[in-house]
Amino acid sequence: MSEFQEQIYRHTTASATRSWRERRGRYLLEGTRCKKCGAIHFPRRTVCSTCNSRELEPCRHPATGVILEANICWQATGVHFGYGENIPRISTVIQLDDGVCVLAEVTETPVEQIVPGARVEMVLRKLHREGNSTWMYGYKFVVVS
Amino acid sequence: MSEFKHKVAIVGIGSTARPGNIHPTKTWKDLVADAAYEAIEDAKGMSPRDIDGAVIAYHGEGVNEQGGIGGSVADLLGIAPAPVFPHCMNCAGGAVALNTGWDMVASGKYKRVLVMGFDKEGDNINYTENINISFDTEYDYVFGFRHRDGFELMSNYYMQHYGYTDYKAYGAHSWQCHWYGRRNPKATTYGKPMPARESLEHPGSCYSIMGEGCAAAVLVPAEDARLYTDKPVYLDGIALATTSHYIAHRIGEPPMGPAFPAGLVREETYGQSVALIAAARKAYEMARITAKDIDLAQVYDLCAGAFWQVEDLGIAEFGKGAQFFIDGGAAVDGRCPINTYGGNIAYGHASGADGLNQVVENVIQLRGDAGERQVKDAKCAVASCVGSAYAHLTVAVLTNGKFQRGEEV
Repeated sequence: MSEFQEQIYRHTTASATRSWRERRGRYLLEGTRCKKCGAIHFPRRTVCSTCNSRELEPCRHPATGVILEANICWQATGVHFGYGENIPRISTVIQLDDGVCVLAEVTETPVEQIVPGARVEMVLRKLHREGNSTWMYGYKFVVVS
Repeated sequence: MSEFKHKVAIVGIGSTARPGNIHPTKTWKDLVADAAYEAIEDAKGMSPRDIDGAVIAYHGEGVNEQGGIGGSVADLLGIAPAPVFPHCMNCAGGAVALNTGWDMVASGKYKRVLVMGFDKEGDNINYTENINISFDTEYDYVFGFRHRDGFELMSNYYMQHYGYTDYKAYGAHSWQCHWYGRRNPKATTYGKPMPARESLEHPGSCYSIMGEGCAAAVLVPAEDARLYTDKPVYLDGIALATTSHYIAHRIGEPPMGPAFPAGLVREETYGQSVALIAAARKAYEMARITAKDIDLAQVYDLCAGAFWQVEDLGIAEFGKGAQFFIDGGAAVDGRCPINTYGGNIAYGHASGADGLNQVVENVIQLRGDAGERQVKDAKCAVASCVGSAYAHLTVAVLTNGKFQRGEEV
């Protein structure tokens, strides 16, 4: 049995197929690079947002970066994917070392260290159960000194 | 606006009271019918069967657990077989519906268009969860993020970027909304005691009161307006700009590509909503106004959003929006009254209705019917609404018969 609470009925239980499809993005921070103009994207794109080219190739972004902005929310606002009723809810925008920005949770770090400018490194963590009860994993970040 | 066939006027408005409350005895259909029929009755001499086209907005099908509502709405209102176009554009939906309504009338294809926006979240099992599926879910929702996280991150960024170290501006802005809400009989906070200003100087004072409701407006070609009202209000400009839903794109990496608005230095727009600047430019150009012409404005007030919205609308300089509220600029006798209906903070926030509630208030103000909260001599009013965390941005410019354009000879 998991240490997470049982999930209540959700209208929006995600299918395992759906999370499987995005596994490389979630596990490896894999986005896309435009073969035509060189722009890099995360999350992966289907059309280049800079030059509209459809010739994109997978691009693995670095697993290290810096916190651009952070928010610590002490209010429990119901059941959320990945968070459950755990507080605080920590949301950050992280700029990876190649410049792309990622919305991510910072975990296993004292809240006073979760501030703009802090160096972070990606870790893989368990998120929540999928529709067929398998566990979904994905990136979170920890502050490194 | 010679390139359009018709100038567009708003001749009827309606809205359900207390959109910050759940209305357990009413279905979404009751709420829609209440507002729609109020709007039709407000256009004197108009009957429901006169409506030859309609638009309806709601937050998203996931939120209301009700899909494909076009036919149901036509049947509900007794206007079938008139077309009803549904929109799901989050909180901006009502204003997007107005945009479509404008297109329908301006093109000459329709003569009397009913525009509606509503939300009925209380019927929903697990609303909190469902509201979050109405953004680009693969990389935010599945990680446990909400729209609100986006607003909070952007607000933190704004405050730090422009050097605001306390929450005085939140207090001033929230208090001002409450002041207006106590003077608007339809507001959720109407009749409630006023909070002390000091008690609002914290980041939690600028949140919406979420609830249910509907707002509606009737649009006709300007030349027909006098048939239905003595005080027509003209929808001179309206624009919708869109951008990525992904919250990390808001900070550091505006994904506007080559369409980045001309004349703006990218670094100077950090802390701003670039898409809102684009929408405002378009709407002002269409209405042939400048920011100086604006007598009052309604903005989407969640967290610090109102601060950079008054900046993007040109009412304050970049970085001076928070100070604008501290200085009392948003008061009824201030430099440019903001959120005179009470805003999401005190009026209440029924997501799909929101963009139209702003416009309904602007019509009331431009008609001179706002009572205690009336802005003196109001001639030009602007409304800006936000869908998701700044993915859909609308700006609507309304004027009344007294408005005169500076550059006109």
